Amino acid sequence: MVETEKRKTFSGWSKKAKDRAFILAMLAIPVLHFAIFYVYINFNSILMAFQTQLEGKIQWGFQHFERMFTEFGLGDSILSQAFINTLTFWFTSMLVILPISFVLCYFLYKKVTMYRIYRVIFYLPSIIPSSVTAILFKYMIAGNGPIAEIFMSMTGTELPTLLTDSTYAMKTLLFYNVFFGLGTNMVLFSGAMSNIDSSIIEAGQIDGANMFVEMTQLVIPMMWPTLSTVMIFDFVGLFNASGPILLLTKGAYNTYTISYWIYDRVLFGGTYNYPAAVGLFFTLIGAPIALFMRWLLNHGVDDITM
Amino acid sequence: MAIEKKNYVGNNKVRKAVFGIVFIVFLLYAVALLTPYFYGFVISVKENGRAFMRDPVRITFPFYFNNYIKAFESLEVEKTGFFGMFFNSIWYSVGTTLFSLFSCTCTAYVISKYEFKGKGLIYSTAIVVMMIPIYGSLPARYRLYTQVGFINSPLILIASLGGFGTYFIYIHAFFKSLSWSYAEAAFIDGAGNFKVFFTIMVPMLLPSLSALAVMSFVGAWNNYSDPLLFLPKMPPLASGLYTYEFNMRYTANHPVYFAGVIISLIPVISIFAIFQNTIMSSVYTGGLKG
Repeated sequence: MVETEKRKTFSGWSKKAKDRAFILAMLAIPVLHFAIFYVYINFNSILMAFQTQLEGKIQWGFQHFERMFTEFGLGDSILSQAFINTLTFWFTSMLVILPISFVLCYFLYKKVTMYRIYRVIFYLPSIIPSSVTAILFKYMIAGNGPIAEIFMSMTGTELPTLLTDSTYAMKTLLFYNVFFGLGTNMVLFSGAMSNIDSSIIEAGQIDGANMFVEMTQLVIPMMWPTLSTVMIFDFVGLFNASGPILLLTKGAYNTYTISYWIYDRVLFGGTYNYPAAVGLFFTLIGAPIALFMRWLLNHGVDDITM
Repeated sequence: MAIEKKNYVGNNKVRKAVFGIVFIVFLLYAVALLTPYFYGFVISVKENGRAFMRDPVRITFPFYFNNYIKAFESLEVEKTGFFGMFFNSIWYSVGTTLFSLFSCTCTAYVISKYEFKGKGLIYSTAIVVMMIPIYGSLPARYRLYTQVGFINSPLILIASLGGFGTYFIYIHAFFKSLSWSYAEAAFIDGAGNFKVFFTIMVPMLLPSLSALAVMSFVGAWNNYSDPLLFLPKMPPLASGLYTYEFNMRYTANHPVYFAGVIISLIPVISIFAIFQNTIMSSVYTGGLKG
């Protein structure tokens, strides 16, 4: 650490003053940026949730919240559907993508044959723009695309229109998320696994630990800080959970999520106050959940390291 | 001993069988993952729009590589040609990367290496802010960006100057692990704070910073939702190609369009190919505490 001495330097400034000036210079822009782009924006967002523009005048009240609860009460409204879809995306991420990607990384860490090539290929969808991947996926499953042709040759029937039918659209988006999302955490997981002391794994093998035991009782505890961090961020993004909706369905055929609905209102609807109210409502629900889960998961870290 | 050996051999047999199955599953998954991109390439070298419509699936010969030249000539979104979109992608990605990493490096350095009042508060705020999800701020953000002239302007890069967030956490951890003795020696030799920061500490961090830079660059290059909202008349490739496909999906020359799509992949894949070992080995997180 820098000792803040009071001795005078050649330039006339004391070391302490120079340090202070340096700290100020280094922090000025980020702190100002934070004040404007975080504090001001979010404060303004809260205000907007209670505002209604009527004939150029701003009225204050809970109209947007009343409207939101009314819509939720309807059951089949877009918001209700968006809420259910958001949770579906989130559960898929937590219960399907996260475990599978962990197992996938485990076998890459154990150097399954061709693991270097697999590592690159599995990570490719995270590197390639999702707008490109989504477009290619759309052409693959189109009525005149290769999947439809294979489906026809195997079953003799036409492939359903997967993205323009309410029965299949959401399931197709979920499939897309899982199929292209397994490599998302690969960098973090691979980094964490490669930092595990190999002698611990070898000792476990000599003691007769099978792969399941090795995975659950050695690898997971050893990389728990990374795993818990990924899980915490999944909880932080609980109501942000979404798929490539903009790229594939634009929310049609019952595929809205909360975050896409807000984006859609701003991009296409040009309405700001109602989405701000909905966002505030979900922030009030999501924040305590995220903070509680952070406490719980970090508590786990303490237990393990003790 | 004999029993133990037998068990160990048996265990090995099971391992081999499991690894064999995993290898086959991974092979199938890898082929399936690559298929859409290969299909994109197949379309990109087809003859022209009509030939594509007649047979969109099979590989046809000869390959029409001049579609790649046509992509540069004919793809246009909001009066921005392919070169324009490429240029937009470059300034947007490079600018976002430089601004965000520079800002995060500055904050992480002083918070990890200097003692001053409010340091704990700033660090705790940075952590807590990451933990509190804000869902409805997009409308307020859009309104502010409109008011300050960020929409359809390179000024949007100012929004990347935030010195906190995920990169801050990584860089803070990197600086924490760096020895302060080099800086102390430089201070004794008469170096100032800025000189120590720019000529000693940052160079020591370059391998780790380069990994974060690659990840940031790739993220910005691939970002389509922000440019769609904030840069509709200055589209980078990620949002431009999407808009082109959406606007022209019934009339577009698909092979030329897919040639453009394939070209858009070259920079990110090249950068990843060059830096993949750096990325894989340098980025590691050890949990968030604070």
